[in-house]
Amino acid sequence: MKVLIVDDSKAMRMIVGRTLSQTDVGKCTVVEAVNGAEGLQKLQAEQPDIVLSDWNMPEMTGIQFLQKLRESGSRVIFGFITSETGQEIRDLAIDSGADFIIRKPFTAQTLNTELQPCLAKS
Amino acid sequence: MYVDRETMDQIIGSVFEEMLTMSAEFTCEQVLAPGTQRVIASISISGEIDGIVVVEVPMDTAVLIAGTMFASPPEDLLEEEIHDAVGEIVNMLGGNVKGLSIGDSQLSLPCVSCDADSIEMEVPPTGTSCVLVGGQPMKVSWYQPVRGTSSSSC
Repeated sequence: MKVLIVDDSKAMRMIVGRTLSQTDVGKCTVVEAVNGAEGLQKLQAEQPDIVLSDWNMPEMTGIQFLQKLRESGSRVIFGFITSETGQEIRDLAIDSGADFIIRKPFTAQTLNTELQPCLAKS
Repeated sequence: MYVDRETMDQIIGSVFEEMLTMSAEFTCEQVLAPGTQRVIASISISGEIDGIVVVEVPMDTAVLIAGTMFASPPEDLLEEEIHDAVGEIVNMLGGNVKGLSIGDSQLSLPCVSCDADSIEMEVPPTGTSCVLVGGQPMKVSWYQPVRGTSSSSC
């Protein structure tokens, strides 16, 4: 299993990766990107099974990243892990093709609950 | 919409206790002495909720937070990693404050700096929470404009 973690905060990329290893996904290969633009490059080069992305990032935001990714035809499992909450954000994320959106702060249990149905479907 | 201290304390508690598994003990005492070298992180929210959230921590607290986030001993931490960690704290606090509103609001990117004194604003804070995180002091202040005025960004 290969996971692409996209976040401009190195600390948060570490936390997401560590929390992911505590879920049923277990050990996986983690690829990192610092914004959506780099995320698109890594997506093409690394072909991850799951993308976990922040929303609020410089250069290319998470929602722009998701929209470009879906426009390109990618059906990769895509989840937001973001402190951006609220129904408007949630609706935009889901309408744009996100599989789930998790609010920071989050736990391994939350991440696992969101990931399992996506993995079961794929 | 104004944020009260109880709400902010709940947000701070969830960030530290749920995600970082660090204790967050709220106190009425002033936790940062004047002149303390500190890392200051701020973030702006505009729209339905309007304001600035500011986190101030002495370097020891910043190192503790960064060490927990990076699962790294203090001596291995780079200054940019320490700033990044405190920036992520203010990002989570700001994001959760923004999430209190139903309407449209925008969140800026966090801004982090080092200073020997507290942040200077033209107005007193709307509220302040003084916290001991993992036993180390942290101050969170938030500034919300009185209706008809606007807040400045970082």
